[in-house]
Amino acid sequence: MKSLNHFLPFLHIFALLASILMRLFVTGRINPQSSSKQVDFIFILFFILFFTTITALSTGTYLLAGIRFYKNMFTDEGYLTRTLPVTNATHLLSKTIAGSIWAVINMSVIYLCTYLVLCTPYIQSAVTSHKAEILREFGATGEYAGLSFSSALTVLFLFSCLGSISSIVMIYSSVALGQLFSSHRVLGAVVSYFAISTVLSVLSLVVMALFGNETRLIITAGSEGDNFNFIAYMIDVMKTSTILMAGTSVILYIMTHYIMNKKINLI
Amino acid sequence: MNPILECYGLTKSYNKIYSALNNLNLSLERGQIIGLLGPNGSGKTTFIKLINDVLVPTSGEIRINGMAPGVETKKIVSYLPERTYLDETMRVKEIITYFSDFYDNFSSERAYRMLDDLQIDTNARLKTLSKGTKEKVQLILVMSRDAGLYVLDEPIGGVDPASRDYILSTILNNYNEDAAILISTHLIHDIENILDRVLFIKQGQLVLNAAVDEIRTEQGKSVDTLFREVFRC
Amino acid sequence: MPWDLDNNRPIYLQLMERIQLDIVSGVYRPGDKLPSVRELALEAAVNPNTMQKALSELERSGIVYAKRTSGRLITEDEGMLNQLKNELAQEHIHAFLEKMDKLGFSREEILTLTQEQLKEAE
Repeated sequence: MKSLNHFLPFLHIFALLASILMRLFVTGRINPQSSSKQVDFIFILFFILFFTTITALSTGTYLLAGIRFYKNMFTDEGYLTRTLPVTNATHLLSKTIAGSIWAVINMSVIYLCTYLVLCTPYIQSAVTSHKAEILREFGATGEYAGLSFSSALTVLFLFSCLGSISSIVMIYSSVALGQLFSSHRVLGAVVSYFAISTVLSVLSLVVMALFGNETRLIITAGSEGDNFNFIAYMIDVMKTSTILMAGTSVILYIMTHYIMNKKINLI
Repeated sequence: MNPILECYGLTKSYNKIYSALNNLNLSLERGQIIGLLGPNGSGKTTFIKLINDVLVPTSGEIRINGMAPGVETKKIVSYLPERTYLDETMRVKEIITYFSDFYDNFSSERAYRMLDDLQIDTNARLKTLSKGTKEKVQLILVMSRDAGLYVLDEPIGGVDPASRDYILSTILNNYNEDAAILISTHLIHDIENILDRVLFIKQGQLVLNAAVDEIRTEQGKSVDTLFREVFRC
Repeated sequence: MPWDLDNNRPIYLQLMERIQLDIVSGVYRPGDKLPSVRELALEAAVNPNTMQKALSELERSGIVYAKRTSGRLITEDEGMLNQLKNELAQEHIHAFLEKMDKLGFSREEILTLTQEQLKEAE
């Protein structure tokens, strides 16, 4: 009841996603054993198509989330939204939740599509027969010996979801920031988005360099190369990233809330 | 009963030099239909936005039923803005559900009855309706609420004369002694007869607050004529 | 259709006049019940408060009286009704004579013209 967000445009996206799923099921069945030039070419074509579609879908989802937020709170529709007997905090919360749900769905579908494309019977048999070797190569030794594919995948998935939620928060705060530029609100929002992304990238680089043990190894590993443990590295990256993302998301959320409360100037 | 709307020294400035609203003092009683009249840019819209908590005052106070603008006042204020503020992709009946979800005092039966009177297809999407029909839908939604204060911004502008008659009679039909109706409009001539009082706003200040019959008795002119005199360019 | 009202004169006075006219011309018979304030206001397309004021004034004059639960009724006092009819007639005649005066007619001329008109109308 709290958030009667509109799923109509999103439903269209979902339909698209579903159809993509179907299509990829087909692609996934191509058997790479027969490697004639034509098959290779088709293969590459399909991969390009796949990546473009995935990118388009993701961009579309996030863009739509941002646009709906903008339309609902800051344009003519804002007159309706703001005169409802609901506080701004509730509005922001419900929209963030709705946006996050879609981001997670988007991410899940992406994972699903990738799985469908990759896991043809051929690849699956290849993987199972060489499973131990592959894991060792990635660095599943010592403390990480008990790692399996599925748990690694789950962790990766959760991490990606967190990333997507934090993207939603970032988009909403860019929209809110854009409102501060009274004459070029949309442009302001776009600029803010890039500004925030840049700041975040720089920040994450700095933090990693300071606190990431394994990353230091990369810098030094150029000379040694053998002692690099991929899994350890990834876990490190994920740990610091998670903290960073959570922290910045909270800050951005608070900022968005503040802007919405103090700077309402609907035209 | 206490007045439904009170302002003390209400001011809204956008910068040091220009104030959209300057030191407004007034109080509106329940059971009245009041006209908010003034040229464009006089501060009417600013005043209306302040009532609806879409703007915050720079100084002074505004109280609706004794409360400051917020969630509680929004429950008892029903606002019809000048523009279309509905999501155009929605169907009429979806909007009715939307309103009844958010407002306890929204009567779906009343809304459906009025839509039926006007033969508006409740299954239609808003963007397929003509401008006049959209405005009528918005008015119906606003008047189907059992509010304490109705704020109507240009309810009959851009609408044909027959529809105007219907809109005015809808407003009169929904009149009740516990509520006040504030109408902001340029079409004074058409609306004079249903007003109890009029407020003239000029350059952010209240220049007149009088009953319609008072004006006609004391000055022997219609409100429309008086308006033209007061606001002569 | 909304009642025909002149924007330059107080509304309540015009409402009173219209109701009085309706009473005199037989739209409302003596003892009839008047519609409620809201109904009348809607019909006339005026503010119910103004209609209320008009009706109160009519009550004061005695043409209309209020019965506790059944609303307002037209008086059955034939004498009062005739008096009202005559008063209205007097007002119209007075206005007519003023206008004719402005046009420059003498009293004899007015009488002659009126008689001619009456004969034609038969």
